[in-house]
Amino acid sequence: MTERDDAFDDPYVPGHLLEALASDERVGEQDLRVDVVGHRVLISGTVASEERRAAVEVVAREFLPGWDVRNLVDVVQRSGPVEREELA
Amino acid sequence: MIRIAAVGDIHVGEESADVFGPRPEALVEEADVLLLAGDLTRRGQRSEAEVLAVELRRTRGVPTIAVLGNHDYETDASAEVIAVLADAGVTVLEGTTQTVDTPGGRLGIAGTKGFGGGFQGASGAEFGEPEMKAFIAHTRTLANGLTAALTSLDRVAARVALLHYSPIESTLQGERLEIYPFLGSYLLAEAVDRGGAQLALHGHAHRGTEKGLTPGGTLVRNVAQPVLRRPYGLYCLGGDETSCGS
Repeated sequence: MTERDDAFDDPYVPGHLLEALASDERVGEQDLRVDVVGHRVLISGTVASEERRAAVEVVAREFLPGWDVRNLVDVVQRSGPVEREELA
Repeated sequence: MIRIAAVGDIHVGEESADVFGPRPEALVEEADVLLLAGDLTRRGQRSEAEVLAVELRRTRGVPTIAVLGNHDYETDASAEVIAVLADAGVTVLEGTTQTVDTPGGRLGIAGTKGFGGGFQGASGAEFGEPEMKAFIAHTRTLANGLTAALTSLDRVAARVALLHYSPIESTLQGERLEIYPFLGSYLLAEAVDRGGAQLALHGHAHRGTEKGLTPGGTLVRNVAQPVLRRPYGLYCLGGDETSCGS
């Protein structure tokens, strides 16, 4: 078994992957969530661009080879109408 | 009224485009000032600040004032980020002030990134290990700087506090409770209230809520772009209501 095969039984995979995603220069995002179900890792949250969303999956697959990585990350919505609020 | 456009947490990277929406030139028609509430870049790199500078050229010279956020310190190049932004005409505040003359009156802005520590009843204290004392002392130092900056603003129609970290809990609703101490500090709210601000703007909490009040009754807006779900917030402060739309 490889070191990463042992990782299937490691309960700290979510924390370590979140650290890797935050510190990896290709991602650098903290608004992410990692859930593990068996050998499947689900990554959700919001990032600032499509390129960064794709990078999340690349980094996760590198960090957890052999895992089933599901990229559920969204890109920030910034297309809503700009409405004025009058403050008292 | 003084028309304030504000947004934070734009996390500009080298690939970023249309950060202020498809028509950033509309800002000059809609707002008297643009305030940026930190996390301007993805990792605080000069190349990212340069992309932001290009985006800001599209806002047609609306007076722009900013504070940095935690992301802007990630690669220890915050001084370069500040320099690039200064070349683009952006004033970055840290315990300092900037005034902007608008048709609605003179606006005074005091800014600080701020830091964490938590909120009343669930906050850290300058107690215990040196690292813990340093953590809370840092927040207190920045909060005191904000109070001093706000109170120094003289002969202004309105005072706005610009922060990255949050001064209150209510604009964090939606974030996990366990991370509240990493999202802001009640010391920042105390600074906002003691400094006499009419409005406090912050970012940092992407899953938070837009609207809140400090314990002293000062309006607070979480302008993190993921919270707003629009290019920026637009707030009209004080003065003649009929001028808000012009």
